[in-house]
Amino acid sequence: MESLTTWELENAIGLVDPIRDALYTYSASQQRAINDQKPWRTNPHYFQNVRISAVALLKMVTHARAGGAIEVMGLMQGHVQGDTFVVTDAFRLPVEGTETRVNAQDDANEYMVKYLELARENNQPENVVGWYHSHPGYGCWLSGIDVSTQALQQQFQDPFVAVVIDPDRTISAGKVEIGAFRTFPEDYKPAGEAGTSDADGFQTIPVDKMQDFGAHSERYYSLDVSHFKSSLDSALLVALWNKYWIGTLSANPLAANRDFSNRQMKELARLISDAETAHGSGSKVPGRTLDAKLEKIAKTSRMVAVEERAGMVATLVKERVFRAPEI
Amino acid sequence: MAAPAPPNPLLTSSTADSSPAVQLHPLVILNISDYITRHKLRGQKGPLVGAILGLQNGREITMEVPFDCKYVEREDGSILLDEVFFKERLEQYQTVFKSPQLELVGWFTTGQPSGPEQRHLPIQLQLQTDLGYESAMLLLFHIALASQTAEAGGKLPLTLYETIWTNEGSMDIEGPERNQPLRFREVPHTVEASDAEMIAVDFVARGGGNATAVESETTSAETKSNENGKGKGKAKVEGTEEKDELYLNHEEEEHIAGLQAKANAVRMLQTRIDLLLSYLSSQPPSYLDDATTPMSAEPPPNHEILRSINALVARLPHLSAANSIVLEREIKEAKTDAQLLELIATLTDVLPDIRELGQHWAQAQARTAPVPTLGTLRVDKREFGEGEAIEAGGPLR
Repeated sequence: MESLTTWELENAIGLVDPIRDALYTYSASQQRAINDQKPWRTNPHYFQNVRISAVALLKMVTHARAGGAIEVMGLMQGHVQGDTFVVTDAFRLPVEGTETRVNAQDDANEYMVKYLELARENNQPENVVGWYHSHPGYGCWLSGIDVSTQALQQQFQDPFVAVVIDPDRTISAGKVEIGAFRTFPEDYKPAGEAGTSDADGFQTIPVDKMQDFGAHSERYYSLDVSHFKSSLDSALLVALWNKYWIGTLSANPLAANRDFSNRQMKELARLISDAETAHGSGSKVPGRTLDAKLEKIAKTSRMVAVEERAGMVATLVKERVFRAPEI
Repeated sequence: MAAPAPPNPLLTSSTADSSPAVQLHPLVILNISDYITRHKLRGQKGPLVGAILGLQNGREITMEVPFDCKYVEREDGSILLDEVFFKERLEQYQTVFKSPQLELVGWFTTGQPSGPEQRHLPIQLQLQTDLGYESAMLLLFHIALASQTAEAGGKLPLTLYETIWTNEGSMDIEGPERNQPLRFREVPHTVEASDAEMIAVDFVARGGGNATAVESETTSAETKSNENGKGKGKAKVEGTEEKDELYLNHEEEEHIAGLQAKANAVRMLQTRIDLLLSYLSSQPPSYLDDATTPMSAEPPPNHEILRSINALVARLPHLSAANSIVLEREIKEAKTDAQLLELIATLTDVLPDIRELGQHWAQAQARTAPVPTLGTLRVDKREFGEGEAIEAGGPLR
């Protein structure tokens, strides 16, 4: 009486749209064919896009946030379609901190192998197509260690992409701060600008990280990151909105972000005093450097102000809506 | 669903003394959705089952992280979890969800809105007895309802159940179910999201991206034609729209998005209040006020709803801050902080311009007044034109 058919009858209900949800399919043979061709070998700029599933994005962002001030990392499963990485799922790795990286620890390696084996056993045959890690508070870019890690992976694990998430900025800006990167081959020099100019064009990099940032920015380029969701996801998200709108209304970003905005203010103060020294009489700093410094100060303070303003708006809205008029 | 369904024999009607408070995280829901979509599109067979990890503190339970499980089919056709798989996977997840350490709190599968069926029992029993998770709950995802969530007033297509052992040999249940004294009891839940989780959910919900395959040189031509029509075409339209309209910079876009989220939330609040109001105004007039009103109204008022509305209204006055002076001051402080920052931003924003002005001025001065008039003046030729001349003072006065 209780057989598989009952289950399957239920699963037969049409909830998915084969065209709209096409990214959820997976063809092992097709992936193998792509892997054999290796079209990315000939063109260092071959990959241009990363598309991340709702689930993977949620997992990565919560992981990054859970790490707090510690860098965390994990791997992404998925497949390749043309110039696009399709990330379908992500999982955490049991490592933490700046110096531990994909290739660094045997424990992590063992964990990864076992994880993928189990995933395959349960009909999730996707290979690892990249890794993610967090940069709490200092923006999405690749450090020197990141670059060498990624370069190594591209050499032996390609196709492989690096994703960076900044949980602190995610909270303060109220939107997910995420970047995806690939390194160039050792002997390749990109024409023109450095690789990090993404759509937003600007990142404030803390002074203590600046050197690391500048030193390697020519060794990689960034990919466009977008996300995707299934038709079922969309339906559920509507229902979810009915539950979490209260959170949107009651959130107090000013209080939640106090630490982060304090840090940013400190950063700004340091930048200003830095520029002041450079400007002082007898300083040997060339004018153009000073220009760049001023430009950076302007942008940083504008960014801090925008975030602060967003927080203020939240408070004001709450005040207007909920405070009883004086009687 | 026309006729009232017969009561589900596996459900108990006995009410709990204290219902557990379950907080369900969006990740669990989206993960199940992802699982279903994947399962369906890849033409996989069999039931969808998975475990849910969370925290349990007395009667407070959170459901935070799910993972898919492998099942085994027994000879009699019943479905069980693959224990080896389950144990290994659980250990893996517990390794990476350490702070705080998450525990298994339940499992999920698909089922009818009417409640658990006989086919769900083996796994429930397996978890509770063989594997020792005595309080494991069941999350039943109703595929049948999923496509109607929008119309259903945003009710999520899922139900949570906890189990109780009924008295051995209870007589009030007929049929084969009598053999099994385990009964399910429905448990209410709330949806909870951490700050980052909420932002991510919002981000995903707002972004337009559906999962249409993207253009690629390598995909076969037949799937390409119609897919591209949608995915790429749409992307292009959006792109050009942005360019055509007045150009907004990044900060402004962000500001607008923030305001929009707030506006949506306020609108939501408004619809909820409207709903309550319209419900109240649809109530029959009170027979206490007017003696001619019949005492039995049709339909009879739902006292439970009315009482909770009353409780809600009664609570409102208590919501205003006890110490409004402190609150006032804090808001004022936050306001001045924000305004100060705006001021700093405005000031620093013009810094490069001022510097440029200084340079031009210095250059102009250098041409019109090449000979300094005072001996005290100290003009560094090397730095001239770099804006340092302003510092030197003299010629500008």
